[in-house]
Parts: sequence; structure tokens; C-alpha cells
Amino acid sequence: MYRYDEFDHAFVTSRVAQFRDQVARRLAGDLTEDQFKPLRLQNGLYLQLHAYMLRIAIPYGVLSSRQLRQLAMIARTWDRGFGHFTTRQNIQLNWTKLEDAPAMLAALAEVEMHCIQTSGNCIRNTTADPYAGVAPDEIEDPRVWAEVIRQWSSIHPEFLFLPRKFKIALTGAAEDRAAIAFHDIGLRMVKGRGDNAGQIGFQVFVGGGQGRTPYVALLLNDFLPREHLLSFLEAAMRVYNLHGRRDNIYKARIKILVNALGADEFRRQVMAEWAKIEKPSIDLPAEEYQRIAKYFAPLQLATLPNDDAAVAKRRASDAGFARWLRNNVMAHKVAGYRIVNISFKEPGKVPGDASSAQMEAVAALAEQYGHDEIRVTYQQNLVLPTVALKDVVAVYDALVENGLATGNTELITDIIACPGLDYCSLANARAIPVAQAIALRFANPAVVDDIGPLRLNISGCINACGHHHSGNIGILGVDKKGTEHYQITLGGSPKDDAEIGGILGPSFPAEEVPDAIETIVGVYKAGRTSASETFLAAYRRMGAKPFKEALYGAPKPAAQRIPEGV
Amino acid sequence: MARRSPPLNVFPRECEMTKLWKNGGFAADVFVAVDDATPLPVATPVIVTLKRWREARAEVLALAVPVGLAADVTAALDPASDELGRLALIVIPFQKFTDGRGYSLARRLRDEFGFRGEIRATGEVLIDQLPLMLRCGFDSFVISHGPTLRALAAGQTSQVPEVYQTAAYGRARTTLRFATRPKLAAAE
Amino acid sequence: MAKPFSPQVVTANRLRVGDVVYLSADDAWVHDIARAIVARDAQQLAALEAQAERAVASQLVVGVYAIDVDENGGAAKPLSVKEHIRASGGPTI
Ligand code: HEM
Ligand code: SF4
Repeated sequence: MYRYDEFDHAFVTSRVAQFRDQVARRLAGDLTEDQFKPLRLQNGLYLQLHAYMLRIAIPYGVLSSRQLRQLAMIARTWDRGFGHFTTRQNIQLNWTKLEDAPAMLAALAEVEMHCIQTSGNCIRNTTADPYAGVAPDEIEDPRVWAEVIRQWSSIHPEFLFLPRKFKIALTGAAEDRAAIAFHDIGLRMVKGRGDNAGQIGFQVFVGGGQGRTPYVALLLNDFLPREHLLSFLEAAMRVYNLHGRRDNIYKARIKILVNALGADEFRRQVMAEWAKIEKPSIDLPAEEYQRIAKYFAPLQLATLPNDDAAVAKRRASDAGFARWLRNNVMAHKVAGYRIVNISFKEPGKVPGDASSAQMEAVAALAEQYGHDEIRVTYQQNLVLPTVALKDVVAVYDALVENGLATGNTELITDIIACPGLDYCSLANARAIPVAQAIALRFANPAVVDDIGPLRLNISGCINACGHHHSGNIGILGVDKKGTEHYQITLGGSPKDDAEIGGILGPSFPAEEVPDAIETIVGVYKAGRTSASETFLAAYRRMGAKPFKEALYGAPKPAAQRIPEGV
Repeated sequence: MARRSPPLNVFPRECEMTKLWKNGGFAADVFVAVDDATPLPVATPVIVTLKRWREARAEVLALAVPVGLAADVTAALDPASDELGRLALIVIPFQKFTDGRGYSLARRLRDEFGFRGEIRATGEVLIDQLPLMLRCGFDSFVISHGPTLRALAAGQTSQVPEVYQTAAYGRARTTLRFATRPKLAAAE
Repeated sequence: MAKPFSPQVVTANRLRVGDVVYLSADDAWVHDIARAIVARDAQQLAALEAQAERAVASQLVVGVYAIDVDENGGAAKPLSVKEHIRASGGPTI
């Protein structure tokens, strides 16, 4: 992974000193809250329902053992001994004190981490495929370019006061595991065709996002030679910065501009801007690319056999292990190695929450068996990207000890949930207890396995931090006359077939949600053509009607219909 | 419902003055800004609106004094038809410090239009954003925020001296010390 | 017809720490909402808010606002779910 050189160290150290001074000026009254708020947000510090919250960037989801240990230490020393992994490859601490924040940032800087631009109307933490560098279906490792974007966007003087936040995601693989269609800019590394044959470049998508006006991103550039990435991004950002709406915070994201202008007109403006930009002054010099790329050179792995007797034996004798192996352990690009997903979704637990002890346990495993690398997924789980197959049993046993061996990756209990009303001041309703209740309802692993791949996502309000729009089943907390209610959407997908889910009907009170989900799953199981037809495929084939009827009863003739909640 | 606190008066009234900061220090402002209804002054460097610059350019140029333009972040400038090369100064307003359009406008002026004159920031210019403005090509600042004036008078800045972006210096290097990764700086 | 005034208390977060506090007697900011001063008319509320603004101006608290409370049975309790969770000092899970 990338290692800071002296320059990077000096940069984050200066940033900590700057923030320490800003906090001091705030406490002395030289900065008003209005003046200070954008500054603290650009250092990841929110004021939430109960306290300040610190959002720490995990750039493109990559962590070393040392970094994860330091996160555990920081959570224990200055917070309450746990953190919350988010859908944006960040980790949030919920009980930060403003007066402690500079010391926490200094502790992060010690291990080459920071909170820079994890909030605010600026370019946020760039996210990437959590399997980058190890996935068998990869064209090129996107982490190199994610690191390039991290550096380029860090305190980019022109783009710190954009109309609204700006999120970039990258993938270098055939399968999209980074939800690029739901980002302000999504980048996919592709091989050039025709005139571009032999080159590698980016397919650039723009204007995706969730929130109150969800959009799937549109294609902006079918092939951008990779060496021009930064100048092209700079052109797109400049058009957005100058023309994005600033009169209405709900219409300020780039998706609104792109859809108001149309993709063609937006593309024309970006191309015109790009044509005027002196590219060599902005694009990364080749030697700097080489310098960064070296850090992401593939591990030198001894080739190992692709089957292992001990693993096979354990699989035959231990159903829990077999299930975990089937659901959480993925193929690695090198034979004899595996990608191991660590679930933070044990039914009944808070999705994405990790105690300091759990972080330390994962750090130790990565050190012993995982080449010192950990990844964070947008599904709020962790990954050991490179584990030798022969070590998989030992890893499993250690995970069991720490409550981290639930074998439910991408299954119905692998629920994405935002903090909701338990922590978030913008929330309409709680998300965590609903996630817990649903997961406990589906606590039987055999039932979960039988349902098969199913992405269930919950947000506590329309801001959609819990990605409910892109869930196969999405649950949105709403406020219905002062009580927490939940609207259900079906058919969303965050992947290559990205789609926004459709609302099924009137909302349910919290206690009825698990039943409703069970009913929906029942309709799917009864209607699927075979066990291999996924929930999403079946829904697309069957349409919403059978699900609606099961939940709300068959539609009555119009004259008799009782008016919906006044 | 959340109500926001009103802005505070954090510095005493006598500090509420406006000063021009330029080239690393406070400087006298030789320009006079006039609105469209005011006759042009004689023999004084003048700042005119875009409307006047477009409609009465000959009259303005006949003054034979340095001319400044009060730009508007919503109006597109055309380097050729607007004859930007004849301007000594372009003034870009920051109505709120959170409105970042001025940064992009300045970069366009410097990097795309090749404007070599002075670019001046007015409005809500605060100590924490001033280095960003410098890096985007601004070189003078009309400041009325008390703590910012005090900090500048005391030689204080709020900045991260290390910068990753090779292009976006503006002319900042003449007034603040910036470092880039050594190799990149050498490549310039 | 004017809506009847509903009883309210003034809340904020302490600037340095961020914890939730309510305006109480003697200019004190306390964690326990039961100790908050309840405004029973618009005038009382305005006085509390003015007092709170002074605390903002002296960098003591931030994010001041008023919330509706229910005084049935003595001590003030927040009406909304959100303020109930906020007053309880932590998440419900
Ligand atoms: C607890 C404090 C949080 C606050 C105040 C907050 C605020 C917001 C707001 C206002 C939006 C809507 C932005 C827009 O549509 O323009 C949003 C979107 C989003 N947030 Fe959060 N959020 C919080 C926590 C989280 C967490 C915990 C996650 C990850 C689990 C997250 C990830 C996202 C994502 C992925 C989106 C939607 C994607 C998009 O930007 O279109 N946020 N957030
Ligand atoms: S979706 Fe709403 S409730 Fe959930 S974290 Fe985002 S802003 Fe808060």
C-alpha cells in the first residue's frame, strides 16, 4: 500500500497544526460558528445528536494493521471504545470532544491518516473496489489512481467551497463493487478499443447519487486516457463549481446540474473547458505516477496449491465453517490464496460497529495471515484481501472468538444501515433497531442461505446514507405525525445493472417491518423459477404487483378504496 | 426546529475598517470604484462595472488611467471581445466565503485567459481562505474582518504550506512560501 | 386564532465538549432536562433565548434552539422522539 514520504508527512502535520489553531481561535471567539463550521467539517468534525462526531478517512478503503490498531487506540482513548464503519469507507467516532480533536488528528497523522475533507462541500474521500489489486476480474489496480486523486483533491484550493459535496468512486474490475453509478463521478478502468487499442483509460460517469433525488450516473466520457485523469476531472469540477446551483441546498449536487443541462450539453461544456486547460500543468508527471504505482506493486506470493486437505476436512465436519467459506471467502487472482470477508453483521449487533478489541483482533489477523492489509467495504464490513487458503481455518477460528465469523456476505442479514435517529440529528427515524430486528428475524442461517443474494439497506431519512435507494429491498425511515414509520422500496441495485428501487406503498410502523420483509421474501420464494433465480431477478420478472398484493391486499375497485392516510 | 445563532460581533467597533492587503502587506488602494450612474473620475484609476466596460469602453479607455473591472461571478467573460488585456485589475466578489465560484473564475482568468493584471478579492475575505485565493491567482484582498486584519498585521497566516497541485499557485509564491514535492517543483 | 403556546425549554451543545445541555436557573447549562427552565409564554421564551445568545457569544454553547416539552406529572419531558433520544444521553440500542 501507499506509504507517506516526508512531503506527505509534512502536509498532514501542517494540517493538524492549522486545525489546532482554528479550534483555538474558535474558542477565543475570533471565529464565529458560521465561520468555523466549514473548517471543522473539512476536518471531519460534525456536531451530531449527542455530541461531536469525528469522521476519519480510510482512503479507498485500504488500512494496514498498524493503522487499524491506532484507530482502536484512538477510539479507546478519546471516544467510547468503538467506531462505525460507513458506506463511504470512513470510520466514525460518535463521542468526540472538540477540545480533543486536534490531538486525535495528530494521533492519526502518526500512522499516515487524516480526516481531511471527509465532510464539507468539497471533494470527499475517494472510494474504490475493496478487492482492488487482488480481484481475478481486474483490468488494472484502481488504488494507484485513487491515491493520485487523494493527493490532487487534498486542499485543492479551487474546490473547497463547491455548491455541495462531491464523491468520486473507482473500479478497475469487470464487476462493479464500488457502486460507481451512485457517485458524483464514477470511474471505471477499461481497455481501449479502436483508436485507443492497447491503452488503458477511464470510462467516466457523472451525476449519480442517492439522497432525496436519486439518479443513476450518465456516461460523460467513454474513454479518457488515464494520464489525463486529473486535467479532465479539473475541467468537470470547474464547470460544476461555476454553474452548480447555490440557491437551494437540495438542488446543489452535480446530478441536478447534469440532468438540467442534459448529458450532451454538460459534456460539451466540460470538453470546452478541458480544451482550454493546459494539461501538462495539471496532469500527473509520469515519474510521479511511477513513484506512486510502485507502492501498489502486486505482492510477491509463493504459489500454493489451490485446494487444501485441512480446509476440506473442516468443511465436511463443520456446517458453520462451510457456510462461512461459501459466503465470505472469495477467489483471489493468485491460485492458493483467498479474499476473506469479515462480517460486522452478526444478527442483533449494530451493523458496521466495531469495538476497539475487534479492530485489534482483525489487525492481528492481518499481520499474521494477511500480509498486513485490511480493506473496508461500502457494505460496512472488513476484508482481508490476501490470505493463503491453508490459513483460512485459523483465520476463521480467530474470527469466531471475536464474534466476527458470521457467514452472510451479500445475504439478507448483511444489512447496510446508517446511524439513524440514534445518533444523527437529521434523522426522521431510527435505522439500527430496525436492522437488528430484521436480522434477528432471519437468524437461521439455513433460511438466509436459501433466500440467496439479497441486498437490504436502511436509511433513517431521505439523505440515503444507508443506500436504501440501491437496495434490492430498501427501507426508509419517515416521520408520520411524530412517529417513526418505514417506507419499503424494491428493485434497487448498486451494481452494473444499477437501478433505483420503487416505492411499494404506504409506510409501516417499526414493529411491523420484520413481518413485512418476511412477507416480501415469502412472495419471492414462492414465485422464483428456481433456487438460482435471485431476489432481484425474480422481482424484475414478476414486477411489484404480487409483492404489493401480499403486503396491502388486492386492490379494491376505485370507488371503494379508502383514502390513504390524511 | 433548529434556529441558527445570529452572527456575532466578535471585535470592537473601532476595528471595523477596511484595508487592502497586497504583496504580503497592507497597501493604499489607488482605485476608485464607480457605479454606472456616477460620472467617471478624471485622472484616477477607476473600477467600472462589466456593463459599462462593455457599453462605454471607448469612454473608459479615453481616461488614460489604469482601469479595473468589477466582475460578477455569474457573468461569463470573453477574453477577446471583453479585451481583458486592457484591464489593470479585475475585482471578484465573495458574497459569502462559502461561495467558491470566485476561485474558479480566477483560475480561468490566469490559466485559460492568460490575464496578467491584478486580481482582487472583495467581500467576505477571511484569514482561513486567503491562502486558497492566493493559490488560485488572486493577488490583492479587500479585508474588513477584524480578526483577519489583526492576524495579518501580526504576520500570521492560516495555511498548509505543502501543496499537491502543481498548477494552482497563482502568483502566490511571491507572497507566501509554498513547497511542493521537490521533484515536481524542479519540473516546472 | 393564534395557536396556544406550548411549553418549551432551550437546549444547545457545549462548544468545547459537544454534550447536550439545557438552560437552567442561574444561567447554568445542565444535562438533565428535568432541571431546565420551562418557558410558558412567548415572552418567557424570548428571555431564555436572549440569555442563550449571550452564552453563544461567550463561546459557552453552540446550536441553540427551543424544543416543545410535556409537563404532565411534573418534570419536563421532550415531546418528539428525536428530542427524547437526545435528552436520554445516548442511543436507544
Ligand atoms: C451521522 C451523520 C451524518 C450526516 C449529518 C450525514 C448527512 C448527509 C446528507 C445531508 C446527505 C445528503 C446529501 C445530498 O443529497 O446532497 C448524505 C448522503 C449520504 N451520506 Fe451521509 N450523513 C451522515 C452519516 C453518514 C454515514 C454513517 C454514512 C455511511 C454509512 C454516510 C454516507 C452517505 C452516503 C453514501 C450518502 C448518499 C450518497 C450521495 O451523496 O448521494 N453518511 N449524508
Ligand atoms: S440517512 Fe439521514 S438519518 Fe441516516 S445518517 Fe444520513 S442523514 Fe442521518
